[in-house]
Amino acid sequence: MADLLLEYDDPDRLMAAARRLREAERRFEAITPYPLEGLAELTGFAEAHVPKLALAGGVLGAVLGFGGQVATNLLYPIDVGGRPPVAWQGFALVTALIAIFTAMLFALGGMLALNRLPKLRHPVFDDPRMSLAEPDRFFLLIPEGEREGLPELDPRRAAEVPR
Amino acid sequence: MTDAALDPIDRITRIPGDFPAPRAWWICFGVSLALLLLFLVSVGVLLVFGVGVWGNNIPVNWGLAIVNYVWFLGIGHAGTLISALLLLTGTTRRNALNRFAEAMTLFSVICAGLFPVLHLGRPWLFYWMAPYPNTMTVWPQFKSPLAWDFFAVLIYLIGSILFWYLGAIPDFAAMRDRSRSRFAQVAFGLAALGWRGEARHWARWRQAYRLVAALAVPLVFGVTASYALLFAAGPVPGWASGIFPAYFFCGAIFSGFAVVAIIAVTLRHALGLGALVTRSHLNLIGQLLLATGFMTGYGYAADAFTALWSGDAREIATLHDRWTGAYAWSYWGAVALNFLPLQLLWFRRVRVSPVPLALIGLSVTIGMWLERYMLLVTGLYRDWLVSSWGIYHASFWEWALFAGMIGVFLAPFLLFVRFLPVMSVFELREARHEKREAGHG
Repeated sequence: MADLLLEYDDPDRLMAAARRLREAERRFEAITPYPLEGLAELTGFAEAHVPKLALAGGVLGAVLGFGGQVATNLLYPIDVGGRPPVAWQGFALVTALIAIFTAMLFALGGMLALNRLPKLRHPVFDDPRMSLAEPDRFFLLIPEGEREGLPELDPRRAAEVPR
Repeated sequence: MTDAALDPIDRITRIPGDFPAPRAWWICFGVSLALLLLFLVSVGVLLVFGVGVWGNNIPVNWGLAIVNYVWFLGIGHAGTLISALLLLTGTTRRNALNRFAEAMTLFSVICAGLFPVLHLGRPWLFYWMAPYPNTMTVWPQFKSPLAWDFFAVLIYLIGSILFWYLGAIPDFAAMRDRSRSRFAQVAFGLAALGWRGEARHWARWRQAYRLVAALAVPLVFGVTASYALLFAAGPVPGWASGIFPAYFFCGAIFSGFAVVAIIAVTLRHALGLGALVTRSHLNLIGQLLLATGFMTGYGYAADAFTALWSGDAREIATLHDRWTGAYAWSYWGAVALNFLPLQLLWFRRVRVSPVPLALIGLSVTIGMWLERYMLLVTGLYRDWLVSSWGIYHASFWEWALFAGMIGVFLAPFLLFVRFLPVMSVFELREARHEKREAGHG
């Protein structure tokens, strides 16, 4: 046995098949050349980890950025016009910039980590029809254990993907 | 539908494999390589003989290097904003513009960042700006805009790379699957990180992309604020003005949209992209240019008004120096080139005509350079003390470095045009799909 790869030439037909799979409570993956509205939810996607990670990154960056500036000013106090070493107003801009930067890094890194990327080898790449360059190839990937008693899915083509 | 002639979007992924204008590309690339060589020579001369080869000296100690720094950085901001703001507002016309606008940002920020480093006098010690434990136990002065600026430019550069790359990952995957040569498959395959377009991957990607876009907007404000405060935080007449951060922001995106107009028209013509960069896109660029032009014009008016209103003798004297002094040509040149041809953009016919739009863009690009020159030099050449007045003329090697820096911008940009998808292919497809859905519904 192997995973089942179903190909569709039209996004609407793929969405219809995905809805049927959802109703039959099957686990499956969809592969599309561009994002389709609502498709991820049909595969059971319901999370907001990326925004939470970005928020955590931003908070971390703000703390480190502000703390770093306080620390360097205490380590090497520079007296210009009698300003206090810890002048928080002066630290605001760099704190904000670093917070934005770490939030960006966490958003990108979190997206990749949650998607388990980079992952250069994957069984679907072995299928000769698999291509993200063609605008009319949409795929459903049904794992081995979910193949029994599938509803009618009406694909253009079905193929086996050995694990 | 795989026939390239039938699908203009599909053409984008075929351009790198089958470039439509190889001769023109080689001529442009040859010119930019010559400029790049000039850059290397200019930097070599600077490093061997020191900043004495430049014309800047007390009182005008910033000179062309900082003029060009502000100018290049400003151009970069438009790429970020056009991409991020149009994404967040859900404008589908963005998809034909964002990729090359972001590439423009990347390369102009690199050019911008090189100028202050080369201007340091001892450029090889630029890393002293960074906080790091060192045997001198010296740390940066975090209450100075100079230290803010180091962080701003560095973070803006890396942030722009992240934003551009994140948006391009799915297109790298499409290029991987499209390419026939083994080398291209491996190169794009590595760049795509094994992207395979799974629905949940798309969902997380979209969350991340929208977040990074939303963060890029305040980042641009932070960067303009930091280099505007380089000027405004000191006691120099003509510089110490609260309007500078906003003024610099408007001028930055104004000059950047002007360069976007030039690039959009050039690429549209050279690569035959008229079906994707439509008259509606040119209209949008024209409208943005006109709107940001008026914001910049408001900056000019407010700057003059606050100087006159202040009643401060030195502020008013600097204003008079700008209008009638030794560098009045830069003030009136900026006003003329920035705002006179711009008025043609009131007419829709001009906004949707490629050549006039690009020419107005060129006029604004030069006009904004003159503005940066005017702001910098007129602030410094007549200071508080008559004894420290002086005239600045840029030397040959400053102009050579400026010309060479155009090569630093153009050479990688041309490589981008030649070898990478110049538009966001999957987003164009997504937009087309959604348009069809709306038509059905």
